[in-house]
This record gives sequence, structure tokens and C-alpha cells, in this order.
Amino acid sequence: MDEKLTALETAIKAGKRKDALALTQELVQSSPPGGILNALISGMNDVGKRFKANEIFVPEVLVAARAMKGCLEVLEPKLAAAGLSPEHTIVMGTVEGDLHDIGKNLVVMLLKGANFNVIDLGVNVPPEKFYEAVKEHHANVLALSALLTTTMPAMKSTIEKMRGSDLKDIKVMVGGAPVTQAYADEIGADGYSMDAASAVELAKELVG
Amino acid sequence: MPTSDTAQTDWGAVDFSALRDTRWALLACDVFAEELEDFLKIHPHPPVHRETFDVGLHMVPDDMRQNLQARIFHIEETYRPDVILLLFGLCGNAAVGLHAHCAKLVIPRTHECIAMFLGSTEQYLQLKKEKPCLYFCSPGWNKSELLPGQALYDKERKKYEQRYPDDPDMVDELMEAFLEQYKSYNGYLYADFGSQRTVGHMESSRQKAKEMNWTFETMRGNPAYFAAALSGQWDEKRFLTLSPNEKIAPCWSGNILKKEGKE
Repeated sequence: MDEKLTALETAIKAGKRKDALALTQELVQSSPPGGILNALISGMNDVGKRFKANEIFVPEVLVAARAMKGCLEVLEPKLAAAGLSPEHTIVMGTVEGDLHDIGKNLVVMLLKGANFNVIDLGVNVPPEKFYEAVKEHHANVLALSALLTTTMPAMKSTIEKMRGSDLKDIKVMVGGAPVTQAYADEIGADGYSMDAASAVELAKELVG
Repeated sequence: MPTSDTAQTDWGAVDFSALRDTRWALLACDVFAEELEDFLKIHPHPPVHRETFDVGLHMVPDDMRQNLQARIFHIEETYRPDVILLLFGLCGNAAVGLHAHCAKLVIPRTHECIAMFLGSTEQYLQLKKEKPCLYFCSPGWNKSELLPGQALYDKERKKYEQRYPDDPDMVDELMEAFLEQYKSYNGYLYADFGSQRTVGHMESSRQKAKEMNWTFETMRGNPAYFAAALSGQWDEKRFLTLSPNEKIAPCWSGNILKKEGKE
């Protein structure tokens, strides 16, 4: 069985969607869903690290992400049946003025893989929409993404909107290629993650 | 149409006097190569040294920063300029931390080169707000081979075919993902300064738009900001000037760039 899990992790790393799906379908028949999930996450974390090190580029990441998404769809009912339904909700989106979503989608998927209920608002999301979604879904965390230095200030205005509202205590995490810890501190975010894998760890800390 | 067969750039009335007695050097992104060629022809006080770097460095801002820092140190040690003009912008934070030991540094307060083509950072931000789905293009960008179109697609496909020679399905999937990167865009916006030198780039960009099934808009750029940079009109509003050992830092409260450690 361990061999199959290793093969699944390898298939995710290589973006082999059909192989990964077939292995997942086989594994769910007899293997605990938590172990399968860990193999998926481990494979995707490796993809994220190689992307950060410029060893692979966006197309490879997207292909691996698609492979993982297909596997998660098979796995989710099994996770739920095993009592691993999400305890925490995260509202996430790319901030106003920014149409980029590749990094955001990757984080959304990894968060789902880590058993968070993720409300994905898409791109170009104004502060009011974030506020409404956090309120409606009783979210524990708000996650903001930006790819451009021109749109980073929209993170600040979104946090100001939250802090000036009845949801002022919501935990906010930020990330995206040009975003830094210093900027996160400057705008009053509760956390910053420099890549997709650490975004999951950060989210766990924020709800912990 | 921004260009014609006989057109030259109208630089307006440029005051070069600020650079009359200055030993200045130029470190520029080669996205400006064509425009620099035109402008430096009319410059009465040209730089003691000029060099350009590959626009492809933008793909990895950390690498770009290291490359530029080494160039700055080399330029000041070799050519002993009083000031080095950095002709690029914040560029995804690639400019953050850059400094010189002996020379002053001057850099436009802008996010990207696009503002230099449009005449001001305000124009650039306005354009991004009004037309967020347009992919900016200029003569230098067209020449860079980084713009989406058939040539870039073929180059990427060849790369993946070599990497996965026995897996055509994987190559197809990677190319599908390659195109997905551009799904937020639906057109090119091409701007130049109206020089005959760049006519071919506009037509080549138009062809790329067809290949992507995108719209193609053109606009005449405004060379005022570019000319101010190269003529030494370095007012505080549009340019950050650093003394030796002061470092470039991002400024998120409005003016884009500041000295590290300053408000």
C-alpha cells in the first residue's frame, strides 16, 4: 500500500493526471483517506517548492494542480464519511483591480486539501464583497492575494474595511509574488505566507 | 495609428542643462533600446557609460535584483560616474535594496516601464483601472520574444516536446496550461513614441494579437517622462534620488519608491 501512496505522490509531482486519478480510485477502496490526502499534499508541496526555486514554471504547476483537483474530488466523500469534514472556513480572493488567479487557485486547492472549507470569491474582488462573504459564511480567516505592486494597496483597503466593521477581529492573511512580511505588518495583516505550502501552515496557525 | 514611414519622435522642448557638468551613467532595461537609440542621438551631454539588461530578467525579480546590483557596482568602479540613472521601475520589487557605494542613484518613481511610455505614473494607473484586460506592448516588448503569440507558443511547445518525447498528452496539457496564464486578457494595447524605427514592431504586435484572437489597440505614447529622466529633470515627485549607500525601498502610501528606513 505504501508503494501505491508513493506512486500517487510521484504522479502528482509529475502532473500525471490519469495515473494520479487511477491510483486514488484504487487507494480509496482500501486505504485510510487521511493517508491518501497526505500523499497528495506532499506531492503538491514539492511542486510548489520547485516552482519557487524556478526549476519549473506556471504550466507545470497548473498541470499538477489539475491532477490534484481530480483526486480531491474522488477523495472528498471519503474524507467526509471518515468524519474529516472541514471545521474552519476561509474566504479567499484576489483583490480589487487584480485579475491574476493562478497562485490564488493553488492556495485554494491546498487549503481544501488541508480540510478547510474555502469560499473562493475569484479575482478583482472589492472590499465590500470580502466583507459580505466573511459575514455570510461566518469565516474564521480572510485570505487576500495580489500579484501586482499596483494592486497591493487594495489589500490595505480591504483590511481597513474589515477592521472598521463589526468583523474587525477576523484573521487576515496575505500573499502573492510582490507581497512581503514588512508589507503585511504595515497594513495590519495577521499573517503573511511567501508560498502556497506555507499558506496552509499559516491558516492552521490562525485558526489554532 | 501611432507611427508613419517618415515619422520621428517629437520629444518636445527638452532642457538638457542639468546634465551639462555631470558625469552620468545609464543602466536601462532593454525594453527601451529603440527609444534610447533615438533620444541619445540628440543628447548634447551623453552618459559616460550606458548599458542595458535583458528584459527577460523580469521573469525572476530576485535574479534581476542580483544582476542589477552587480552591474551598479561594476559601473561605479569602472566609469566613476557622479550619478547612475536607473531606467526601470519597481518591477515586481526587483529594484528593492539596490544601492551604490560611491555614486548617486536616480530611479523613476514608477511600478513598471509602461508609465514611461504613457508619460506619467498617474496615466499608467488610470489605464490599468480603465482597461485591466489589455496586455501592454511596446517596440521593446515586441522584440523581447516574451509576448504571447504563435512564436512564444511554438517555443514553449518545443521545450515540452523535448522534455516529454514519449508523452504527447502531457505536452498538450502543458500547452493548455500555458495558454491559461493569459486567460484574463483579451487584447493588446500597443504604445510607441511615433518613430519610424519602430513601425515594424507595431505590425508584428498586431499579428500576435491575431494569433491570440485578441483585440489590438494602439495609442501614441507620451515621451515627457522618458525625456525628463534622460535629460536630468529629476524632480522629487517623479524620481527618487539616493545618496551613496542609501537603498531603494518600496513605498505603499503613494509615491511608489522611497529610501530604505525613511517614511
